[in-house]
Amino acid sequence: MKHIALTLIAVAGLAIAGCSDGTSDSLSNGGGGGAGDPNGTAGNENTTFDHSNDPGGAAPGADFQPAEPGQVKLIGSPEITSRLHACGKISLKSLGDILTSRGLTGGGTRPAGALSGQAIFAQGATAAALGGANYNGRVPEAPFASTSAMAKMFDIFTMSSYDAVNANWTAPACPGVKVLGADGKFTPDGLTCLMGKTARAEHLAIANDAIAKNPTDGAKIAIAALLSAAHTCQ
Amino acid sequence: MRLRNSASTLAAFGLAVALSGCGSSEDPNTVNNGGTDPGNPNNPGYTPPGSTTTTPATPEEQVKQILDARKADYSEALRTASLKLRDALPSMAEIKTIEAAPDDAAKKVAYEKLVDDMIASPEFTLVMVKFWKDTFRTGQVGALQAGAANRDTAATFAAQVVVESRAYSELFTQTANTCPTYDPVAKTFTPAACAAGAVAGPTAGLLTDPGLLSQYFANMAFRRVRFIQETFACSKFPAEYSATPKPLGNGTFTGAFPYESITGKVNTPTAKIDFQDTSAVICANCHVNLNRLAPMFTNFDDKGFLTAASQVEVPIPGNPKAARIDYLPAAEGYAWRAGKPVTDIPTLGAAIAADPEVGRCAVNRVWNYAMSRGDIVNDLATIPNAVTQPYVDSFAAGGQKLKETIRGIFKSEDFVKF
Repeated sequence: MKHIALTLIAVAGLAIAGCSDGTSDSLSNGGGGGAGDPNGTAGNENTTFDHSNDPGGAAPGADFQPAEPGQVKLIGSPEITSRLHACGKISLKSLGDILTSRGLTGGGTRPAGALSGQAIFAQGATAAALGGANYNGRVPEAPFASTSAMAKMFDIFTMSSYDAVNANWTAPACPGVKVLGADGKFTPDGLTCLMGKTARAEHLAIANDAIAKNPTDGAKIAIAALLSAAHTCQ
Repeated sequence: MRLRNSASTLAAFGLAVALSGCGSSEDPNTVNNGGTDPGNPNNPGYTPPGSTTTTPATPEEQVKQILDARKADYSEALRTASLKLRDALPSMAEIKTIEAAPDDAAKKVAYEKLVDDMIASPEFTLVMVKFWKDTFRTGQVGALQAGAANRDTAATFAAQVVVESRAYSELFTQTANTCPTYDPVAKTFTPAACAAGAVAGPTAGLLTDPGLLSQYFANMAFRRVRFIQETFACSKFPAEYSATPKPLGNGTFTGAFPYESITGKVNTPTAKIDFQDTSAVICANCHVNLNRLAPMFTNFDDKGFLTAASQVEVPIPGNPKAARIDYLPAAEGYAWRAGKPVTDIPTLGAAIAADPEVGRCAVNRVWNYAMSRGDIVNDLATIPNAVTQPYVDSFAAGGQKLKETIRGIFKSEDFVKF
């Protein structure tokens, strides 16, 4: 068992090492080193030398931009992929707006000592975990979510679910809407409000199924899952 | 036990919902490597749902089949447009406006009206300031220190130019009020001139913005030049290629200027840096362009202000200040590109503004922002010219108004289809 674990760790380590190109071939001051590849010609933040190593690449601005064969095989040709929406990260500003405009501001009854979603969002370290910008380091807000950003957003949405199930919940952007109806089931408009787009019958059915299976926590579970799924991407 | 059950249910439900949101093998938007899966639109045998055709005869047909399989979803488009144009989800009333439209044609009209409203809203100004801060990778963090340049002004100026429907070329040619301030509460711009340094110099849009020049201060001013190239031309150096590359040393010289036209040991035995070195890589491939630009930026200090003498160093023992001879022989002049000579920063700004690739870059950056594709240089999110050519053409013909490009892209067929 120990051997298997060590082997897995070693393989994972190799895989992670393979993800780095060992250069800091970027204007960003992202802290990348430059010592990984002794044959590399890219410098680091302290040097001025940062060279293209792709003499075979097409000229910038050339009419023909050859696609990398690997890219075409894996994700489709650039002609197709560039016309499809990718999955961008919800910006910090947008996430803050989601919490306030959807009434997820800490009004629910939480377990003792637990922070609300908005309180987690407002914590000092949260911005970095969510991929916030570091302009002094020449780093913009991350366009895509990291694993830690996904996990932090899930924390925020999970704790925000306590607010949405509160009987006094109101959302400034959705006046008159209730997430849960008098029958204790989700309302279509309630889910629409939380997701920011029209809820389908399937959304409603799955969410209500969570309540049926777990009358105590099902609504909160469904809300946390719906918020996380709906706001995984911009 | 109860907690554990809850956690398990939550995990399972979250996974189910998340996976359902990711599409399936029948989802025409799924473009993964599905091997021989006939449901994979990248496979030659892919048949879009409802289609009677099978294997496309040409790659162009295959592209068309895949793109035609997308469906317009104005509710989804409204959500993502709202997040990108004003950093907020649409209100219930706006969602209901789309819902209430009886058919796709009516939904399209309602959606496009809402996009216009978003672009006209005060929140759009805030989004533009943030867009340019992220594009320029600069912003004022904390209080402005005495004697330091404000690092917000570049993004604020670019945002103001876009919001006020001014020509994009002003980013490189504007001679006054290029350091406006922005009130994030009132969401308004106030024109202002940039703070002056010890020496008065010309103003050329962003090219003389002290905050930017401070942010990209580095040896020999090469980082400032890289910023201009990567941000406004959307590609890394080499900036251009010769039609007749020549084998040289351990590689191939591809520069569009003569190899001998920059400083190096071949023509200047005392050169501090040998830009004609060919022992590892062909330095000149990039430096024939870099060295024609960087000397114009050497006299700006680490705070971004113009001084009378060179402020950037040559990275050799002793760190001497860089001089023009360190880049170019005396007879060589500055240039934006081969055949595009310049004499100073204002003429450089004019050359950049006139470069059609700079206009294409601006349009492509907007496209990538709209489609959540990341940075065109850092994330290698390049775009085939054919995809954005209509917007590039209308951008050029319409006076380089990027706001109209944003409007056009957010209303485009590609944006509203999923």
